[in-house]
Amino acid sequence: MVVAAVSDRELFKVDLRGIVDVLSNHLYSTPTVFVRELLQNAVDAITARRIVEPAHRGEIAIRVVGSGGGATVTFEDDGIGLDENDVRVFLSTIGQSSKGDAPTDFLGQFGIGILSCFVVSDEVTLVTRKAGADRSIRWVGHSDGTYELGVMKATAPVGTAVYLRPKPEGEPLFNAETILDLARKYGELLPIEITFSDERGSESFAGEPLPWDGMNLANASHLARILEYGETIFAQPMMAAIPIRSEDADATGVAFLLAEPKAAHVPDDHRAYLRRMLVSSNLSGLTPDWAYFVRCVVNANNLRPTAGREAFYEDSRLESFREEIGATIRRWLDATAREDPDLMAQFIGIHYMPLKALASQDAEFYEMFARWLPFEGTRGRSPLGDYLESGRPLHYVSDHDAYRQLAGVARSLGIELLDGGYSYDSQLLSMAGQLIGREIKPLDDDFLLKRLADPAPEDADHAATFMADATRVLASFRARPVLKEFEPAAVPALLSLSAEIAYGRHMRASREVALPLFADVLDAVATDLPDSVPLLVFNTRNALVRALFRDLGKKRELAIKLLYVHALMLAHQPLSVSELELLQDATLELLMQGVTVRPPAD
Amino acid sequence: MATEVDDFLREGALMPYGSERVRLHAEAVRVADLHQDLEAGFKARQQLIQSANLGGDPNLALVAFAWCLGQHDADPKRFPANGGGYFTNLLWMYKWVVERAIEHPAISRAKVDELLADMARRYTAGGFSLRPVRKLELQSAVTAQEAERIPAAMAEWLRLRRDSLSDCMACDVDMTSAAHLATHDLKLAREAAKPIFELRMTCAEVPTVTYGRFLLPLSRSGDDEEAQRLAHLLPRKIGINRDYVTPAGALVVYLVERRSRPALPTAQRHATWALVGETPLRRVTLMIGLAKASRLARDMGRGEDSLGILLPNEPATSFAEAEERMTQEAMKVAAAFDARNGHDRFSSTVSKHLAGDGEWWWPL
Repeated sequence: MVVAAVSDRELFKVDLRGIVDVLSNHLYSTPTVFVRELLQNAVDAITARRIVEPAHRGEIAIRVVGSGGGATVTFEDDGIGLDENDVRVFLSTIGQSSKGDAPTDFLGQFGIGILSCFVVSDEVTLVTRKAGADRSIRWVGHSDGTYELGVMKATAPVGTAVYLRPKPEGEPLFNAETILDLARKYGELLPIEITFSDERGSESFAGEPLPWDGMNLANASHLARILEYGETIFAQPMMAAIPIRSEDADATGVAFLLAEPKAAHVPDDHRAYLRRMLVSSNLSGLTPDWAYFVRCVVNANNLRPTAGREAFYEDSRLESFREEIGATIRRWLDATAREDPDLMAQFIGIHYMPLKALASQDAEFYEMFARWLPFEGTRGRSPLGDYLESGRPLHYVSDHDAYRQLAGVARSLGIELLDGGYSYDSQLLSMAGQLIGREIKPLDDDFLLKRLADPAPEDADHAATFMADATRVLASFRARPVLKEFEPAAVPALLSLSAEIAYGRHMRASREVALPLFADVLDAVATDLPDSVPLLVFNTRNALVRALFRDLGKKRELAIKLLYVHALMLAHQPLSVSELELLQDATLELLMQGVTVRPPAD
Repeated sequence: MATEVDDFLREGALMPYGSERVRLHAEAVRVADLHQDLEAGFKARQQLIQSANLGGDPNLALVAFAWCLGQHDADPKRFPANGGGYFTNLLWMYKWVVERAIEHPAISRAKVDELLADMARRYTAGGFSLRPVRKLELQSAVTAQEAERIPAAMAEWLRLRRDSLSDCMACDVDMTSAAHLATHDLKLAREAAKPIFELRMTCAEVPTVTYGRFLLPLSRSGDDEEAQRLAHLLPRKIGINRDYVTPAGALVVYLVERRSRPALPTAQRHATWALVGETPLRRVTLMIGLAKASRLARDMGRGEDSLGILLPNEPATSFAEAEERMTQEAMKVAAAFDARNGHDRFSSTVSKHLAGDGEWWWPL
């Protein structure tokens, strides 16, 4: 390829409107950030002036005159100011930051803060005088990418004043209430006093120590004050406060324990400040995932913000900070469990669900909390510790229906049975043996076969033909009969259903309606299931079952089928199409045959 | 009844993806079926498919999907394919089902082709792009380690238009990087995955699956810093969701090879995921990891320590007992895939990994 004559090197041309579009649509999440950016510039200017004048206190003034289209908003500071060269280099050159070689002292790093004003204003006027200079500079920037720069005849105070008038899209923001709210939101913890004034008067805020500085939670009034602060900023009741400190992140703060339950999926909304400027009031990812029950407010001096300064960059320092917060919360929980059981019980009562989730995946938490966590069972709803201290054998079942079916049987056997049908409960109960040395066994087929009493020999003899019929009939439902005697006598039969068997039933229900294309696929995945056959455990103490020991011909077969379906229904299991048909047909046939069953005279 | 079904669905939706969410949505299905309410059963199963697919129980998702598709074909008006959201759209969910079918060695290639053809027919009938179908064909080549098919399959996928049924950009970028890894091009794979590593693209499973896929290739290539960073991020990302059994397996292998302090505890934490839950393909990395962890435990004199419960209703297994079992299970999965695919690439690769010689381009 032949290359034509090459031009001299040229500079990229920047379309300011395009840059502003990128900022407003892709970098900043809200147009209100101009308030933060202007406050940031003011704080940085005062910080710069304090470097050369250590005694300089510094003040920021915000004024709003008018509202809507006719409003003017002014941000003024008595910081270091800018000279003509500074204005040309830092204001009129996009991407150039004035923060030099010591970026960690300053809030802004990216040199694009002033551009945020063009999201809401077509014209930004800046009047400034640098400390030590005798000339005041006036700079007017326009959203079309042009600017004017001039030396003023009048002498402005040392510092900088930025004047904004809204463009149509910015008008809703340009009123006293909104600007004051935004200034408070972003700047209320800044170390420099901010004075806001409008036509009605003025008020000051900021310039105070952090609300949690010098906090002593052992002091009841301090605790009350900090809890009130937490409840105000998070608009939720709080039950406790935990101080946070990190040397590496140079951060302090408070973790508040919520006094109401919170669902795991609701995003966190922690409040985070960077060098006392608000980063976000709904920051997620600040605490470990398991800490659903806390809301944190922190100020960090040594975490890195993202480009939009609305979150922290996900780096190893943030990860460490997160782990430190997690460790702090764990230490508090551990200490509270040992020293304040009432507070601990209150905490568990509110947050047991996330604690159960946590304990299910963290052995240390399991050991710390397991005994406090509530479980439903034959002692009612009680902490696991109460069940462990009962001295009786402990078992659990994995669903409510199995529990309802077996609770009475368990009581008659002197067993404590726990209902593992609630979220995480089965998993937690299964872990007890490994983690706290107390085995809590599932009440499975093995239990039913071993713990339930075998029938008296004479009953077993009488039942021989019944059992032969039951084996044959139940084979067509992939079930197996077993004969036992148990209380309560009113229960004719129990159906044992493990998770694998329930899965198999689910599979068969799908096969009944699945397309032929999927039949082979279902067969293929069925090979992943362990081969499990449900047991139908007949109760020789039940009058109906005993009646069936007699030779009743075809009626016995029908009765066995009905008892099987009855056991399914008692276990709240959905009936398949074939089982529904069986129920219908068997009931009809019995009605037609006019079955009469009297209990044997014994 | 409708309230009870909705209660279970709502409670499940509050849980993070994982076994508890699946259990609650399965309860919703049970209650609906108990009352013979087919519409409620259809709605509950759509939620269950999503929860099970993203919560590490793809078999359950497939079983529920088969029921839903059967009902839809029998009465499309009563059981519409489009539930109003992506994750309740049968055509969207069909992608998940075929993806898992590709990863299950008991499902023949001919059957996978039939499923793809049926999926393509439905997509065409609905006026949708066949991009997802072609992506699954690429995925088939990648999982079968048939690198020779990958370039053409990738080109065919990428030339098709995106529409509302196409995967998100993050998933597509993840697939592109996976395809480059499968052709042993780490440089191109890293280049492709850049938006994911810079967190400019994320979704439900990305970047977790991406981090898991890159951990070992990066470590093997000598990029220890990046591998360490991923290893540091992965535990929190994986959490308790069995869907991430492959990244969990990669993490175990990485930590074991470095003889890191968290190696054995990490193996213990995920042991129950190795033999049940996700598809065999997704679990085989963890099987390899647990075999290696068991060897490490033995070397450290901790062979009698408990690895954990490998299957429900089994007592806990020690590291010593688990080593042979995991080795056999991994080779069994590899043999099953080879039998399906008609070559021995899986067995050869898994053998190398178990011996410590593997380069970790696969499993992905």
